[in-house]
Amino acid sequence: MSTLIKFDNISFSFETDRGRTTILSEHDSEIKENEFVSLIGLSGCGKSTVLKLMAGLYEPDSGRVEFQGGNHPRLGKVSLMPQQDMLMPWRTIIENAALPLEIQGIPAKEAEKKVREFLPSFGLEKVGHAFPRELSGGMRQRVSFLRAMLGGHHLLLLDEPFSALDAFTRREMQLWLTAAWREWERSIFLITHDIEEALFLSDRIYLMEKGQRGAFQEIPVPFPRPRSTDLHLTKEFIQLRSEITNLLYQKESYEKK
Amino acid sequence: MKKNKTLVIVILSLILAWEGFVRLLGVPTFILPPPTAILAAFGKHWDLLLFVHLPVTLWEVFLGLFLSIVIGIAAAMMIYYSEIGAKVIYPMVIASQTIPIVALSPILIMWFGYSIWGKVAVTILISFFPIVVGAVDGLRATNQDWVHLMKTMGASGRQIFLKVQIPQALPAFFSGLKVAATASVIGATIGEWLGASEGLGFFSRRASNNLQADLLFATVLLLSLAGFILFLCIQWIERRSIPWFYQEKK
Repeated sequence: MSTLIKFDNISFSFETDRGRTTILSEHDSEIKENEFVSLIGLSGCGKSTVLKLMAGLYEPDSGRVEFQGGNHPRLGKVSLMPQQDMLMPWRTIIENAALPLEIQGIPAKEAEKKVREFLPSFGLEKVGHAFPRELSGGMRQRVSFLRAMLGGHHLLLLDEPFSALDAFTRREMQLWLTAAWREWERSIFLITHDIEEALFLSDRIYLMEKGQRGAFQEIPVPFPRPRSTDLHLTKEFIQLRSEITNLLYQKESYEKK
Repeated sequence: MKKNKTLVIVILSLILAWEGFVRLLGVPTFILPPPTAILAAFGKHWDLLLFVHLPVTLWEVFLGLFLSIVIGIAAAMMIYYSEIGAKVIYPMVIASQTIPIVALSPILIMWFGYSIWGKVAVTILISFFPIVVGAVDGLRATNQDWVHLMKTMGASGRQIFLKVQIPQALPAFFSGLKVAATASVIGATIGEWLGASEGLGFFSRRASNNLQADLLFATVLLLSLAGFILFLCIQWIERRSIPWFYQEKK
């Protein structure tokens, strides 16, 4: 597998009211083609900022971001699925999903035709002309995911996409996401604070701490695919989960010192 | 429908109470005319009111409101997009609302004479303000998460403006426009009071000078009815332009 995006010795900090906050310094990480990587970290450590750096919304203060083998622009080449569904209330489901195609210059009619082809596999064929407000949370997330997919880019960034959903819907969406990821052959970078979710979905897990110096702590996920729904009941899964919990706990107590 | 029924009952009882009050106490008609006298005055002068003076005032209102929208949107864009606009134009827009228009009337007449433009100027002065405030607030409420999302899709500034900022600003803009619609009728009337030879404002002033209180009330009633209908028209356009906004409220 070749590398899709790579942070090479980057640093990034923010100017806030309370002075400078360093998010990353001298940091390296990478995502390979068709890989599923999750990022776990305590809230407030800057996970969303890492995502925005990958998306190209921010540029690092120093260091290099290599994308598709060079210093290529990332805006317009990476798909983002934000934390809230961020569907536009003035657009119907079809119009919302067609947005990235429209921005790429595809005529509205053609874009909507393409969206309609995908509605059935996302379970949305009956609500194409509805407005987002009429849909359930899980359905809105599916529209948001379809919109991200239709951008047609290889790298998909997901910012805690399921955190607002109830446990049952979340599980359903995780299964669905695994299937979609395999079918579409994309690289996914997922931010989450749900350790089980990260273990169930990813190939590798990055652990982030506040003021991250150097590389993320990396945990390879050894479970073969396809993974069964009762994976989270196995001994290995529970062991790995508690290991990660401990690591996060150590990071937190270290931060407090 | 039930709400409208209540409204009709309340208005009818108010009119009845008014009529009874005036007749029982024997208030002279030139002080406070009873509703029947107002109706009679309207019946006597309806052709003059509806076909001579109303069209003149309506034309001033439409022209004034249209130019208010053009000027208001232009001002709002300058205020939103440039720092100088926010620091210089916005205070000037607010200052324009502190002008006592009546004191300004000799100058307005000097500038525009008795032509329609004097009345249109007063109308604009009164009704462009809520449009500017509504549009600026609407643009400033832009959700940055949407802007970020659009940028990751490779959107240009123009696409972000057209596909995010304008739709998001529309509800606030329409709120301002509804206020402006009713204010524009007042503006045209004041303009005519200051100096005119036709229009409902001019007509009501003449009635007032002649102590024809019944005719004055009939004219004012027609004016407020015009304002009310204009408001409903804007609301009708609003509900068709931003149906999602009302659906959301349900």
